[in-house]
Amino acid sequence: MIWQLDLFLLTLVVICGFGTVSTRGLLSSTIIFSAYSFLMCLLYAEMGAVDVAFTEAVVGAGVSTIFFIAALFRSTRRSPLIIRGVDDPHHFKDQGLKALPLALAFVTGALLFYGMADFPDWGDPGSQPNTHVSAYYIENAVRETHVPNLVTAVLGDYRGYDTMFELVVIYCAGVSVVSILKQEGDNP
Amino acid sequence: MRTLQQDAHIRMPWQDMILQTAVRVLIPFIQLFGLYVIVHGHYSPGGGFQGGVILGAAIILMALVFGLRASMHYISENANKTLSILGPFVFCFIGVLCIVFGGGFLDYGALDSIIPLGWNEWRSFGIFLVELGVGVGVMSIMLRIYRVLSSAGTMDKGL
Repeated sequence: MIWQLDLFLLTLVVICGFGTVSTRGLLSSTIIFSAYSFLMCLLYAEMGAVDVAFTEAVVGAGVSTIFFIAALFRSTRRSPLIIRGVDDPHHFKDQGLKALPLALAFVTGALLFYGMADFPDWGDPGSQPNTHVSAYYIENAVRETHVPNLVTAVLGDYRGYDTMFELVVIYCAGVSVVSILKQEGDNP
Repeated sequence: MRTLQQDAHIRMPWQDMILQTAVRVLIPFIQLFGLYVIVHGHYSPGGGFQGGVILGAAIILMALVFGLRASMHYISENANKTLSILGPFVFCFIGVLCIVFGGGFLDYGALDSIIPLGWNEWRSFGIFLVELGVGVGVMSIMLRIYRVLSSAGTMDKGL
């Protein structure tokens, strides 16, 4: 882990996050969101979680962007709320900053930072999650399953249930999208 | 306010010769890479999920450039429907097969009594079979979501 690179990537992630929320055009917002996913992927790769990074690159930056654009295609290019703001310059002035949500956001953020102090160090071999079953996998997985990539061995064999129901969850997502959107009629 | 769709219809992308030629060359390589990611998941990052999404993205690219109809010609909607349930089915089937041959659910070593490869070698091969199921399922589900989203449910004409 190189902290300079981490800091650089995290700064870009924060910039992209703000950009996604504050950009007026929905299409540009989607593209910035894709860049955000790709930066997260670089961050995962830099921390050594290459399989997670691969998934993030393929799903987060790739396919979900296409889905967003496909959904946007039937919509308007700009967010209607902001268009109202453009048409009526007093629209945002009237609203002002809402005190209660802002205070809630700050309190939640402060609590999260407070909780962060209890986290173990990054890659600490003595930390709780690293001493439980990880040691068993590292020592025995290659011998028992003949799979050099430990992530695949854990996902496919030791945690086969999880992977199976992940697939079922994806299938349910597909079926629900189809059953919501599909129009009956001539089926090619 | 015009929709994005009305903007795009000024110039239809599936009539662009440069795009079509480039994508025609690109798609076999993308599919080959997707298969490589699934098959080589034992040795390098990747596996069924990532490879399946790449395979699906190749056909989504085809649908984007050549139109939804062309991709329907390649994998019809009925075939895609079958493939999307085939993925979870293969996974569960192998799990149950392990019980039939005297192991626990998804205990691939038990399949040793079909073809004797060795208990540990079968655990590796069982993971491979399961990853194939994951790849096929994820590919067709991604494609199906895209088709429904892009055609607003009519499955007739895409973006």
